[in-house]
Amino acid sequence: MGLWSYILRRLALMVLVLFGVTAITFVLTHVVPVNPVLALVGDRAPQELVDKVYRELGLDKPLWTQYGIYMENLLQGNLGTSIASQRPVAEDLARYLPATMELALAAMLVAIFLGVPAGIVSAVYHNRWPDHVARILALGGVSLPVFFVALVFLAVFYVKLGWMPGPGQLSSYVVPPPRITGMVVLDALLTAHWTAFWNGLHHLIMPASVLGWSSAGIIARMLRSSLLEVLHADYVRTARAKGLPERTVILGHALRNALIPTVTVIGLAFGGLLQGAVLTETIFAWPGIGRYATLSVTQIDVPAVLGVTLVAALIYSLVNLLVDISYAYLDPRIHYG
Amino acid sequence: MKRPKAAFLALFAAGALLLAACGGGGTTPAGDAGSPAPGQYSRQDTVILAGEIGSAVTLDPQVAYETPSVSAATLMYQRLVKFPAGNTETPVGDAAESWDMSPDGLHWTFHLKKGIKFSTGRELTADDVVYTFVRAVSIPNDPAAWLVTQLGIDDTNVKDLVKAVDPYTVTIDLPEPFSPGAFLAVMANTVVGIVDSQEVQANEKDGDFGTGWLYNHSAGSGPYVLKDWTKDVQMEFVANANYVEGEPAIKRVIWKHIPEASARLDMLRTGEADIAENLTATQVESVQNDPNLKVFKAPAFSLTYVGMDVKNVPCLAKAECRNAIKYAIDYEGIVQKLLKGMGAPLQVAIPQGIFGYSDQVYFQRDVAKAKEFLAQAGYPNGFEVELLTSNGTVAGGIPAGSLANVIKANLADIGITVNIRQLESAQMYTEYRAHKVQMILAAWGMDYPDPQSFAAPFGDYQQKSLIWRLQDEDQALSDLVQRAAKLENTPERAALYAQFNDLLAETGPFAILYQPYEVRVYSGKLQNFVYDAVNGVAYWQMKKNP
Repeated sequence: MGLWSYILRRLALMVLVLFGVTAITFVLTHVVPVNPVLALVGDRAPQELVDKVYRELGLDKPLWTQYGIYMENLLQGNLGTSIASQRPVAEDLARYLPATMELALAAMLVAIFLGVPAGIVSAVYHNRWPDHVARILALGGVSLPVFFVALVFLAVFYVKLGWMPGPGQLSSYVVPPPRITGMVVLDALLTAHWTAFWNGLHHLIMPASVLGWSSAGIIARMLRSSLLEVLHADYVRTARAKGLPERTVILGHALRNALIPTVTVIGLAFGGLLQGAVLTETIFAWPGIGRYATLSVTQIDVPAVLGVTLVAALIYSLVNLLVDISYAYLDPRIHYG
Repeated sequence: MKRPKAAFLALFAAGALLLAACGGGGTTPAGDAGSPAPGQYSRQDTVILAGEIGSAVTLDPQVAYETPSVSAATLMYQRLVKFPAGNTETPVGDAAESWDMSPDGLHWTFHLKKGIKFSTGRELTADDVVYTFVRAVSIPNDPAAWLVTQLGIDDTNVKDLVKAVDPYTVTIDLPEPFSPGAFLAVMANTVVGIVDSQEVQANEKDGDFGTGWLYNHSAGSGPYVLKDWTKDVQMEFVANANYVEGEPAIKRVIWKHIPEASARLDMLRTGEADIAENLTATQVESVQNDPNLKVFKAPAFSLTYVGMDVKNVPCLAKAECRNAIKYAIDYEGIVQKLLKGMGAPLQVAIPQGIFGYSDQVYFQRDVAKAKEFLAQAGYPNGFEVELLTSNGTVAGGIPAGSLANVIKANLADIGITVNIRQLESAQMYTEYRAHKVQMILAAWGMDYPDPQSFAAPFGDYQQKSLIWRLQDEDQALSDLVQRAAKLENTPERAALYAQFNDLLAETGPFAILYQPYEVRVYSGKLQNFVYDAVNGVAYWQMKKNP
């Protein structure tokens, strides 16, 4: 019961946060002295046309009137129309968000799959060679720029070795699966389009690895230091004294207690994945929200920028909520009420 | 004690090898065509472009205005006239067999070819042409509409001015004189790409002229038909079996949106793509010796220039001061070192390939002469000025910032201190249009291949374009442009443009830097590869070796 009211309280707070986010973004996008119409009609269009479209888009109205209109529409679930794409923002988001979610989730899997074992190995073999290897890999993940790794991976695994497919979500000859969630691999699985499933999965590996590696580094380093701390705790000594196998001591007693800070970091890393997605999506021609966000910002496409910001804030808030709830499962001593 | 630790190591190793394992076990090699299902096209019938097509807003020919959507419309729609692939000076008939102009240039009659069929199977008639013009001027928020409305044709008078006399004859009356050369060039533009009026009207919704449907469908008579468009992913076209000049040999054309230039080149190298566009100068250099790849270069119809505001900076108000800057710039160095063959010298506002072009070199870097001019202007010790440019690339695929720094260094040699400021292009153009710049480094491209598309913005302040933005109300230039506009491409018109070029170089507020090349790198398997700045790549006349 306590947990549910906690979740409800958090969700109510989230509405306030999102409201603040729209207000700040709206003001920020209008601080820049730029005519968004020029991004739409181009530099060569005559001034009369620019002025006409400016009025048609309602950009000549005072800032607060525009914000009022925006909020009124937003409360009715209408995110407005993108200036650049001339399509409803909600439609654009629905098209781009699934691709990014698919990439981010796959990258998260890679990050956890690489980061957690690496962290454990590092701590268990503290200051011996497996620790050094894992730490070098982790350091590489954290410090090598994503775009650089992406370009090198493409040059090596795609061009030289031919193990991996090139940019994009599917090869040209593969018929895309019917759209259900918008995530190609998942849709192919759900509709049993096996060619598309394997091809899509194959295309997903490289961008997800590039993106996941950096988060894996953060996870490994965090898990290593918290495990090292926990391994010196009294209850671990007690467990060993009881004669429990080392495996049970580490995976059962130590790991669970070391996971709380790591889970926090995983939550934060998810935010980082959304950021890293901008570059990864550009290089791997991934039709995701990162590229949509970049384009919208450079074109001062206010409705699109607001839509993206709202969605990003929403995802980030939800992930944080999820992280907080998971504490209660990881550590029974934590209660919400 | 040893075994559990070994298990951890194994787990770690398994995680680390995940990529390699999945990759190595993959069943489909990259770039493989696979075997086509019945009724589908094979890789051999297909040409794949690794391109930049993300800016396409709609594929409706009357609304298409961005480069990729205009190129797509060129594949799908015939116009009354067209420029043949590789020839951008003389229009020939496309849907029209022939045409006549009245002596005063106000009345045009187009005689249509008989037997042209749309991809839908219906015959193309004069009614379709009229409907196309109605669409071109009536769709709200249409960024391309001004190409037609500048002729004096708008949604209130279009039905009186564009008429179907009989099924194969269309007349167009212009309310005011308009340059005949420019008029034909507009008739060749996709903004009047002829749509199947019955098909479009059948798909109309709430009086939208079918824009919602034509957004991602096609109803034309051009060489290709739109099969599918996934925005930001790819466009797929298939050959139009009804095309009046014969069904193209390349049965399927796929344009993939690959935003990163090096990834586009990667796809070409593996054979996954057959053509790559928008590569950087360095990348083009790197493929010169690749036996499997070929490079096609054609002059782009654009130019890069430095504009000088004649009111905001006191010195720049004087022609001597502007000439000092024109003599200080190292044009040769820019073309050779920075562009590395991705551009050609150009010092007039009308680029090569357009009537009225001249290869005259008015200015060569001469520091002594530049200083002399500066002293004549009354600023022997120079002055300080801001140079505005975008934070993207300029024509020719080089960063605007690099070019701006060359200008800065060149002008420093004659004592002028340049402060570079870089903005997003939309922001830069906002300031430019509001007369708020001191100096600007920018590019200009054409809308239709007629000198008017260049001479008017650079020379006629009454057009409220480039020269007007720089606050230079030069009456002599404006008169020359307006006189030349009224003529067809005659020797008299050529003489007027020669005068215009000289005068602009002498007194104008522009230092014109170069004309970029458009470069396409393509697979050696492709035959008859032709690219030009009006039609793009002529897929319809291409062939492919196995």
